[in-house]
Amino acid sequence: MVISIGLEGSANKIGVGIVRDGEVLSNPRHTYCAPTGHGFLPRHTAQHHRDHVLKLVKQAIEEAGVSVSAIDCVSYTKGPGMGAPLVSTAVVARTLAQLWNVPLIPVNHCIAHIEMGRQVTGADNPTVLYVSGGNTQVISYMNQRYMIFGETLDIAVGNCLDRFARVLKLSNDPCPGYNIEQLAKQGEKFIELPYCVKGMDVSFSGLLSHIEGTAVKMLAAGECTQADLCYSLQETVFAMLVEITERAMAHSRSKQVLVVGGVGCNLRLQEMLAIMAQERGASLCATDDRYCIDNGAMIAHTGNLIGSELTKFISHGVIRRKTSMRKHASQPAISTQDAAVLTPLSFSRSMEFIPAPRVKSYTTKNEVSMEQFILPPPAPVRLTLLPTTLVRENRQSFTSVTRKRISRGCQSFVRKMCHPRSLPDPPKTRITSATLNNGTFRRSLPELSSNSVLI
Amino acid sequence: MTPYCCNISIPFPSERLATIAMRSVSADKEPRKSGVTRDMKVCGGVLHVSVSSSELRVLRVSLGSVLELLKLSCDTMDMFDEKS
Repeated sequence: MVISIGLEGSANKIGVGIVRDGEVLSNPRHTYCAPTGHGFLPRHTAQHHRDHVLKLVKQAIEEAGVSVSAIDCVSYTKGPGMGAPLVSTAVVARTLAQLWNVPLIPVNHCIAHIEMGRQVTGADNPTVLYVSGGNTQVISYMNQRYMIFGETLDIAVGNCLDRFARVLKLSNDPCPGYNIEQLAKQGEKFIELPYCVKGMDVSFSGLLSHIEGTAVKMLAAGECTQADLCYSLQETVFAMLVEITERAMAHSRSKQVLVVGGVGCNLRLQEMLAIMAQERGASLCATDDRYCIDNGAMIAHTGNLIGSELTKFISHGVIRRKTSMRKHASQPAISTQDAAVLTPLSFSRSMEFIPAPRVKSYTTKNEVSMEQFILPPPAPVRLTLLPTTLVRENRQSFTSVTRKRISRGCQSFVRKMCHPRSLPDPPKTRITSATLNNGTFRRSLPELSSNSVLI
Repeated sequence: MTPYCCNISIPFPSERLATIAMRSVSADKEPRKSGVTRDMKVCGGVLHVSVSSSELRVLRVSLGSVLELLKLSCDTMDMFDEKS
C-alpha cells in the first residue's frame, strides 16, 4: 500500500490530491480566475498558488483522513507549464518531502493526465485525445512510449476557446470554456467558419482571427447572437478534433478512445466522440471535471506508479544515483532515498514502468449520463509506460522551435505513415462516416486498406 | 563582470531547516539568459544568499523571487514540521 500526495500547479489551477494505490482519498483544487476579458498571467497565477497551496495541502490531508506519517511519497508537476507557478508548487513539494523524510517524485503533466484517465475509466490501450488550454494532441501508445499522432500547429483548442470568450466578454468563472458550452446550447444558426485540418494536425489560430474579426461586426449588425457564435465555434473545432482522432484510431486499430484534459469535460465534445466511436465499433472513455481538469490526484497517482517501480529499479541497481545525490546522502538529517530526489531524476529511455493492478473503479458525479461512456475495468494487464519520453518535457509550449525539436522524431515517422497523401489510394467504396448535423460534424473519411497500415 | 551584487543572511531556528530551505529553492537554476548568478550556502543555521547580475533591474527581480520562494518554504515548515 502506497499513499502519495501530489501537487499540481502548472497553469491557473492549484490542486493537491492524495491517492492510495489508485484510490483517490482527497482531491481539493483552487482555480485562479483572471478578470473578465483578460487571460491569466504567470506572475499573478504564481501569487495565487503561493497564497492557496498550503491551505489546500492541509485540506487534502484532513479530507483523506490519513496522518502525515502515513504518506509514502510526495509528487509534483515537473512540467510542461508556466515557469513561475511550477516553481512555486515545486518549492512546497520539495520542502514537504524533506520535512517528512519521504521520496520526491517529479511527474510529467501530460503523462499524468493520460494515466489518470486510464485509471478512472479503466481504458486498456486507448487512442488518447488530450485537449486542454495548453495542449492539443492525439496520442497513441506504441513501441513502449506515448507517441504523438497529430497535434496543433499553433494554439491549443482550449486557448482558442478562452480567447474567444474574452472577445465576447464572458466570465472566466468557473472557466471560459464552460461558459461557452452553456451559451452554445442556445445557439440556433450555424455560421460557416474556417475548417483547418492538415494531415494529422490541426490549426486554430486562423479560425480564431477570423471569428475575432467577424464576431464584433456580425453582433453589431444583429446578424447573429453570441450563442450562435459559440455554437458554431464549438461545432467547428470539435469536428476538427474528432476527424484527426478518427484517423489516428484507423491507423492504430484502436477500439477505445480516451479524452483527457480540461476541454475533455465538454459534453458536446464527448457526444461527438461517442458518435464517431460508435460508428467505428469502438467506445469512448471519458471522465468528468474532477479528473479532466488539472488536479492533484493525477499527479499523486502517476507519482505512485513511478515510485513503486522506481524503488524496484533502485534496489536492483538499474538506476545509479547521481554524485550530487550521494553527497546529500552523507548528511545525517536526511536519508539517502529522499535526498536523491531533490535533483530531478532522469530515467533511462528503455525503462519500462508497469502500473499496479487497478483496485477500484470510480463512479462519476453525473452517474446516469456518464455510465454509457465508461467501460468496466478490465482484468489487470501488463502495460508499459514511459513517463519521460512523451512530448515536450518541461518546456514552454508553442514555440515553433521547441515543437519541431521535440516532436521531430515521432512526427516524421508518423507523417510518413499517416499523411493521407503518402498512403496508397484507399478503396473508394468504403466510406465510413456520415455527414451529421448540417454537414459540420465531420468530413467523410475513407477507411484505410489493411496493407496501408504498417503500425 | 557582475557590477551589482547582493548578499543576504537569513537565520533559521536550526541548521536542518536552513538546509531544507536551501535545497528546496536552489534546485531550480536561474534562467541562463537572465545573466544572474545565485549562490546559496548554509553556515551554522544561517542561510547565506548571494545574487549578482550585470543589471540592477534583473538583480531586483531575481532577488524578489528568491525571497518569495524562501518565504513560501518557511511557511510550509511552520505549518507541517513535526519535529520542532
